[in-house]
Amino acid sequence: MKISDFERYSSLLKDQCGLILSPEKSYLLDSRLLPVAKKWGYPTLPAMTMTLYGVPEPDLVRDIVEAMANTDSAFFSPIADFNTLSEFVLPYYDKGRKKNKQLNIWSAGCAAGQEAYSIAMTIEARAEKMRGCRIGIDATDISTTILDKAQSGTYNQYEIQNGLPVEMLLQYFDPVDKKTWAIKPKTKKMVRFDYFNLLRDMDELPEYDIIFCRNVLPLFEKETQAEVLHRMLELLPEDGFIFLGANENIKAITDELIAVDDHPGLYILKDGNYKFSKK
Amino acid sequence: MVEKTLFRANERISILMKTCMIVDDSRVVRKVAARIISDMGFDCTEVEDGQRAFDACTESMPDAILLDWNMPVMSGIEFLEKLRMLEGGDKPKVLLCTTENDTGHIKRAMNAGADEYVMKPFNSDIIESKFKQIGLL
Repeated sequence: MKISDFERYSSLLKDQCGLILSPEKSYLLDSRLLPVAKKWGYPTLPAMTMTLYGVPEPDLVRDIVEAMANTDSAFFSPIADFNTLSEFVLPYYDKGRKKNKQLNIWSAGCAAGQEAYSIAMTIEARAEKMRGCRIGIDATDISTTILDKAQSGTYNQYEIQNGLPVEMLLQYFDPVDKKTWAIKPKTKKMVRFDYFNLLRDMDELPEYDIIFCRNVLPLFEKETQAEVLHRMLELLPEDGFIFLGANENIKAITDELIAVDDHPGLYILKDGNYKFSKK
Repeated sequence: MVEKTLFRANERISILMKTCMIVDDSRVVRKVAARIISDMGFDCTEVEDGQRAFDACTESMPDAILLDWNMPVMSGIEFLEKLRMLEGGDKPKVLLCTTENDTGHIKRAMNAGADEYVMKPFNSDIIESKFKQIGLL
């Protein structure tokens, strides 16, 4: 791909959803965009690229952005985060939420749904301890195609084996055919998938006790990262938790959070009110 | 002098490395699996049927076994049941690896003592993910 064409796609992605496409990721473009070109009847990728210099169809722009924004995901990845959820965060609410038995969780940038369903399975696995607690898991992404896949709850043989222990496969999935598995209806019902662009105003979103936004912020420019994170933190109650990627450096974008010792990637509000010492 | 030093270095590496036995009657599958698992830092040996695998285990137990189900002479399930009855046979982590992907086969494998189940075809991400799940990585 020519540098000028890469820059055109890169600026389209940034304008539409704030995501930054680094030159190192340019190798992804051909494989992701060729199916879009084929769908829209362009004989080659350069032919489709040409139309972007004019006034392209909004639906074409949407398909291009979705194709470029898609990220790979796996179940229980990394397992340490889900151990933290199961052994530290959820037990905190077992003890501390006698009055409010509603627990809202947001999987922001949910891709094909593996993160949201991993959260649901983690909760189901300790359902006895959470009896009487109403759980709502909202999972959002900017790609309607990937959201349709997530909503279907079906995964092929490669996807289903990536991160999911076989005991959990048997417990939470049903075989559809020789190569496809579907999440069981009871677990599927725990998650609600919806389109949401993180650049948008978040005023209409509810309060979330736990937010998962792992490895999403680094896809934005620094300034946008800070704005998006700040808006998200306004949705957290005073004893809420947020999971970010364990390797994300948040010092440059916020001073509102404190890292939780021994749980890399888990943060609490600096000015929050928790029933444990914040140190 | 150089050869002796190299020999010592290799000997030291093989003692420190975890071992994995790949049991499959397909040479191609063995080679592909061996390449993936070696890249994860394991010292791999390849065996073509359950009986030979069992004989090898009576000599020395590996840390991990990637085990095919359908093989001549002795099937993967027969091998696994016999292995778990051997002294020290509870030690290796066994991943049963097969094209059989219905729940009945998976449950049978787990009941026979498999630690994980890999549906063929697999790739390096799947093998690495399964090894992590059972504490081999």
